[in-house]
Amino acid sequence: MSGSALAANGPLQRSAESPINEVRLRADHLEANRIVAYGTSGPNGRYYDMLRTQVLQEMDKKSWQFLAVTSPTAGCGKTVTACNLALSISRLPERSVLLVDLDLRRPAVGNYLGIDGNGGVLDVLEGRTPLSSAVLQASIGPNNMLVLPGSVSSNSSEWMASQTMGALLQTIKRDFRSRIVIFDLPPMLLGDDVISILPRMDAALLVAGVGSTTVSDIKECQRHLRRTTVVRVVVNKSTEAAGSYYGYY
Amino acid sequence: MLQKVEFEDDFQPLQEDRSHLLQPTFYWELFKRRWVYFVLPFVTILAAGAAVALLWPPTYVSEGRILVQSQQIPSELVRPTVTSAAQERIQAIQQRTMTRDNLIAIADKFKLFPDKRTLMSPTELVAEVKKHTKIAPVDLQLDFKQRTRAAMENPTIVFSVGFEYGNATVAAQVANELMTRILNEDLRDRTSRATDTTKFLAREVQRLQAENNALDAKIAQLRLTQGKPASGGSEQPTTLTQLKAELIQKGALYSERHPAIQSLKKQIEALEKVAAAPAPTNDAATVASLEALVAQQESLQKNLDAASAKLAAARLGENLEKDQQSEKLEIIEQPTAPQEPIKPNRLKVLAMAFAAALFGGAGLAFLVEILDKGIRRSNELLSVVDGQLIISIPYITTAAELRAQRRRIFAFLGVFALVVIGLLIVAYLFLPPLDLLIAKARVGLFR
Repeated sequence: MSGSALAANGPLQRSAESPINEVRLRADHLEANRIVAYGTSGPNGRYYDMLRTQVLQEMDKKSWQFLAVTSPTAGCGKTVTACNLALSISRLPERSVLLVDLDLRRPAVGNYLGIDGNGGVLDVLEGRTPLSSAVLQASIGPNNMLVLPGSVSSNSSEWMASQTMGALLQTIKRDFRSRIVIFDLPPMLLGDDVISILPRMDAALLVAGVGSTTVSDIKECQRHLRRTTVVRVVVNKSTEAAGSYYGYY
Repeated sequence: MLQKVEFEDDFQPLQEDRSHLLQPTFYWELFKRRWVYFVLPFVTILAAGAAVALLWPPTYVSEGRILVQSQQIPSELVRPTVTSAAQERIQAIQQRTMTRDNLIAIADKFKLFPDKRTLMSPTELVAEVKKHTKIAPVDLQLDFKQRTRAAMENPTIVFSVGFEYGNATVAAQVANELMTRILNEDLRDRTSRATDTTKFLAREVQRLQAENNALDAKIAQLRLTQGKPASGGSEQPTTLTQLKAELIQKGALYSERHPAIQSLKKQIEALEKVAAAPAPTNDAATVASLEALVAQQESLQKNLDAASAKLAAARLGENLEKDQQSEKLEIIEQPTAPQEPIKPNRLKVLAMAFAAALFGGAGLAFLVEILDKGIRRSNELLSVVDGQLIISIPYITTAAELRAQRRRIFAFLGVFALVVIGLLIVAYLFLPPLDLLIAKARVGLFR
């Protein structure tokens, strides 16, 4: 499971000999998990479209590819935001997206999207599976995106800081050059995972949960985010009257 | 990088936005968030309050009224011996009745406070009985005609004697006992005071009489020694005759025991004795002292007359008191066993419990809200994050949640309808007909 082993998998070929596993996402499952940014989205999806547009503008300016999605603590809606943002990007005709679940403590992307993930990112890291076969193509309606589901690891922190992780990220950068890669990271303040991996990210999206995040949490996160650009701070689960002008559409 | 990166905590928060405090939705959201913290103390306090309101043992008060009647015989004819302001009198009566011995006797007689009695010291018992006893003047609304000078000087007053107790019958019994004791005490007091006055005056009269007698004797003796040789016995019988005539004259007016009669008698006696005695010497000194003595006797006689008159008046007063012709206490309302307890006002207790529950619930909800540092609005991040970076995403309600919510609303409406129907049925079955109800309400409202 060295870096060379990983590199030996070679570039991902979307060819007949190594077809990407396809998964169809079920709309009702997504809806039940508050993943709403698929199809011609309803009123809630528009908020994610707005976020998508703003995030993509920022990233395009600097030609960034890697976006880390994290939150101060658990339960802020970080995975929901990552999934919705990914789905929203996938709906753009000239864009494609890869969603990587790097929360090795409590991976949730698979559950939220309704994918029974065998293996996932840990298998790739440990060299059991090549990256190309671990990545799934999740499609709903005419749109599709690539997903690298996560799996639980007892030593998440070590993996995050490891050379192997660095190599994996390099491989992803090379193989999915044209894609925006969204990483669902663990909560920032619950360990050093995020701090270890942040230097390898281009930009970060901080998800704050209404009711569960405090101002001092945000300040604490700011200390760790000194060297990473935060493209947006999402105030999630907000109940404030969020501008009735959205209802205009 | 966050554009607002200040790692010292000394940043000045921007002008805090409080506009949301004016919006009703803010409070509705707050309630939706914290309703558990509101409902828990609310239900607890209300339940406790309701239990208190229902289980609080009732207290009955039995009350009688005593009228303090002013003297019926005009005071120009007979002056009352015992006079003091009515208010003062009531206080005196109260103090005299509420003695330790009296109260303990009452408590023992009616076996008051049976559950606490064994634990209480006599002092505590007395305090407890005192606490339950209510003696207070009743305000009489005098109309204009009654406001005469006499009425203002000596107003007719009524005071109530009441006793509060958990048992209506016992309360009435104790109140009766208290009234009886008050009446007895008052009668004994005023007769004893009247008798005291008479006794004092009688002693005074006696003393003056004794003095007078002594003077009489002295004068008679002096007259004898001085008169005999000077007038040669001719004047002596004259004095004696004069005195005897006076005695007959006064005897027609006064009784045998009157001091004037007695004094005359003694003088006559002394003169008759002297007549037989040897003649004393006669000089200017004896004449002078005789005159002085006579003057002294005259003034003494005046005092004696005055004292005698006072004594007679006092005797009359005493009789007045004994016959209860002067100011007296009269029971105008006997204490009866009350039908309804005065305490507790269960409705009031319930209302207070409800208010307390409301405040307790709201208080706890607000406390939790204040202690919760979690952000509620994107505005709250403005102090640490550039506003341009913030994007707000509303809470996403899933279809399942919407269904559950709708189910809850329907369930609530159903329960509400059932309760209303149930209340209507109960009202139909147990309440009097509507017209009667309206009539009752009118009486209650426009009483």
